Amino acid sequence: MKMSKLFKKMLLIIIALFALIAVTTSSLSVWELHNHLTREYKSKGKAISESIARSSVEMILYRDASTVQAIVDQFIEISGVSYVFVVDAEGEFISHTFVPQIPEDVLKIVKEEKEETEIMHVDISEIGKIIDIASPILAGVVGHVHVGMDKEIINAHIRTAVIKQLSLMFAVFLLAVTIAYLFGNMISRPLNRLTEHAKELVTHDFSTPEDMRADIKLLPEKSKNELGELAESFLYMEDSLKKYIKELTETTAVKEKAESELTIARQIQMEILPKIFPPFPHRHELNIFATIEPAREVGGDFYDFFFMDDDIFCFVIGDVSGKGVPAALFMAVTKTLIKAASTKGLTPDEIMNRVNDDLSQNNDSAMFVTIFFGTLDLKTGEMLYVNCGHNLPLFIRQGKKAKYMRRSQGVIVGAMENVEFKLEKMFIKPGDTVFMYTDGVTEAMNETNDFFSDERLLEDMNTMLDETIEEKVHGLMEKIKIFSNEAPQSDDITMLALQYKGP
Amino acid sequence: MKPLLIFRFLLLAFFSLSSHVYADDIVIGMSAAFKGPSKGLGIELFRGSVAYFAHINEGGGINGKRIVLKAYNDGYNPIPAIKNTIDLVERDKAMLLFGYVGTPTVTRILPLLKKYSNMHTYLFFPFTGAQPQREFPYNEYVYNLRTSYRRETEGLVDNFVQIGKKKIAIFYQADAYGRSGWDGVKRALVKYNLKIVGETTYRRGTKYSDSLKQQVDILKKAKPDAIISVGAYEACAAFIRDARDAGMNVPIANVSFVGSENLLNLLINTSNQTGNDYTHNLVNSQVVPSYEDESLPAVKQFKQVMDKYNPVLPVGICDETYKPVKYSFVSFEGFLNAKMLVEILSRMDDNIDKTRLKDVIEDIKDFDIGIDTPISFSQQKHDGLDKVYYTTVKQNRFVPLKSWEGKFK
Repeated sequence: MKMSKLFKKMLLIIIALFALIAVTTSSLSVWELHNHLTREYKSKGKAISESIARSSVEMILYRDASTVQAIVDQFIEISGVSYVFVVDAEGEFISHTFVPQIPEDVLKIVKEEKEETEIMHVDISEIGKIIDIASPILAGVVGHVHVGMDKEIINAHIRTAVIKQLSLMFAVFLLAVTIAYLFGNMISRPLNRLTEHAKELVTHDFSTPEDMRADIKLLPEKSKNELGELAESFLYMEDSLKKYIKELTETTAVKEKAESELTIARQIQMEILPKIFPPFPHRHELNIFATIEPAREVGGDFYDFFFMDDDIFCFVIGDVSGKGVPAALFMAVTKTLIKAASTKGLTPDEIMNRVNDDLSQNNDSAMFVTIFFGTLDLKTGEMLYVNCGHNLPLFIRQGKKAKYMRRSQGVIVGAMENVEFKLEKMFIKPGDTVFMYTDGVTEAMNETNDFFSDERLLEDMNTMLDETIEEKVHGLMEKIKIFSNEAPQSDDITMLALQYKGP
Repeated sequence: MKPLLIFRFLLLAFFSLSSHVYADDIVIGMSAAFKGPSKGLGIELFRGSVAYFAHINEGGGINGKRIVLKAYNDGYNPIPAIKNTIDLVERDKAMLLFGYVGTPTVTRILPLLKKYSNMHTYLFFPFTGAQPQREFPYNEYVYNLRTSYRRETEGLVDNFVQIGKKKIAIFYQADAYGRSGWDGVKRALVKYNLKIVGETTYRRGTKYSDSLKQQVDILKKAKPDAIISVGAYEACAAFIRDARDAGMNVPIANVSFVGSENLLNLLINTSNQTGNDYTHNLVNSQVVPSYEDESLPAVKQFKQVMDKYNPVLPVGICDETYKPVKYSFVSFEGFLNAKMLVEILSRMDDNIDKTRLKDVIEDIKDFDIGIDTPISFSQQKHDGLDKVYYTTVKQNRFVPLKSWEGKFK
């Protein structure tokens, strides 16, 4: 089983703690032991030294050196005693235990007179660190006894004790780690389970089956602590999320349904516009081309063209106010009414009057439409038209630059009944072109909310004078797209171009 | 403890011919080194004594009583020596203690003699020249046949000084024995207003295979004219070897305790192996005359009994790998010790009683033991012999040193 991160952290803390404890207690032990043993060694050495001093008085005075040596030799066997020696009052050696000779450092100690037992810490190069205990024999008149206690033995004792202590501590440490490991697992297992579950939630799209979370559900009851609370919060969050996601899914479904209906409406709307070009291949008197680039939202642009009789050709472009289904319906109605009203012998103003009256009646939603409607006599080139509040079309005389057509007074259609539409009349020559469009063209916006503008339209058109009407329409559409770049298209873009080719 | 227990049951041998102790046997007790680096001393001393006791026992003993020598090994260490002494006195009911070897051992058992003084327990002829048993308060309980280290070292110093070798250094065993010799040298030099020019010690138990270069270096710095060595044969031989190897060719004198033949054998072996001569410029002081001097009746008798009985090693308590030396100063001393003891015991006629020992021995005056030197004891004089003999090595044998001048100048 992989070591949990929690346990790793805990382990680090335990190690740090134990290291701290080991260092402090060991230091204390070393200090204590050192003091204690040194004290012991001093008192041991003192006892030996003084006992030799007391018992050797007569021997030194009456007996030979070997007797003293025999006494001294007995003490050298005692553990911790590194050397024993006896010097007379003049500092001459009577007996000693050094092999192979008396170290120089010892000769230095001897030179000092002592009146009572003295303890010195000396470092003898041949032997090591020593506690030298010197006792005077008969107040120093007879001589002195020196006993050297080996400090290395003290250090060895300390080492042993510290090793034992550290071993014990290590055993406790292992026990503590084991307990911490088990305890850590007890805590981290449910936590890991929660983590796993959280990951599962995502992969299962928050639709985990109930049995998969059975163990999680038991957690709050099993652990009456922060862990339980965490599990409980987690379950609550999960439930809330699930509920929310369910609602969201339903809402989205409804929305999607609505959107798909709108799309269908849009398609129907677009389908009622003539899309086949050239629409009248057998009529060589004219060229006509149109396109509509619908915005995402349903708009109300439309165009249409048809023959009123053999010679009179009707063409119309319009833009219904507002957006959405009402606009689409209004556009469909308008287009249908225009076609129905265009009976032989009527002029465009009369036709618009009828359409306007029909639309205005019962127009509770107060919608309206701008329309440019015209008729062209293909025999004579006489063009009659009304501009009902619509954008001014461009007129391109063959071989000349494009220009906006004359502004004429015209009101919007559908707003009120019995309005007058002013009929305009002009003659166009073979090769002349009338270019109609909706405000989707001039009001196309780029990312910095600038309009494409009337000026740019005119300018761009003038760069394409020699091209066919189809190329002109496509070229403009291209330019608008370049201008808009990534900016979203907010309105339908509709263009209708008509070129008279002569009778 | 354990070896001691085993010894009790193995009941160490006595001498060659008998292994049983009878009620009227004269039991004498011995504790000596039969193992360890000084085993040669204990074994040779034992062999010399046992040869003579065998000779006496074979002749009917003393007034029909056999002499039984009970021996224990102390390995030249004080504590076993004390234990052995207690066992000998309390359990084995030894009539007297005899032939102990070594200063550190003997020095430590002296208080026991005081303790057992109400039982009239005396130590006869220990193989040591140390002072403690020759001085108050223990001189009372000990009789020596040999003279003291003080005499030996004094003699060595006197002779060296006389031939102009005044810078004397000492190599000695770091214990009571070495100290005894050191003390003797020091005292002898005082007479000439001289001091020891260099001194170095070694630890008791040092083996021949150990290096003593450290000690050699210390003495080399003192640039001595002669070195007096107070130790046991293994260490002393090693010292001679290392000194000669280091280019120190000054005379090296050893005292009687060293065990001259054991020392010499080690050196000869090494000489044979390396081709270097390690036996030159040596002088050994002896406390008995040379066993090569066949003009002495005791020498003749010594060789006879040694040849006849060729005593075996003390059974069970000694290092069996030891090869006995045919004759040696040590075994000769053991022989003389035994002969002196037999003389004392014989003087008690059929009333052999340890309470009478003191009176009998102190009554001996000008006794001729066969070495051309009369032996006397008295209440004040507990050393039978005073004479020191000097020997040197010639053709791999110790021979009497005739002229110090001729040899060393």
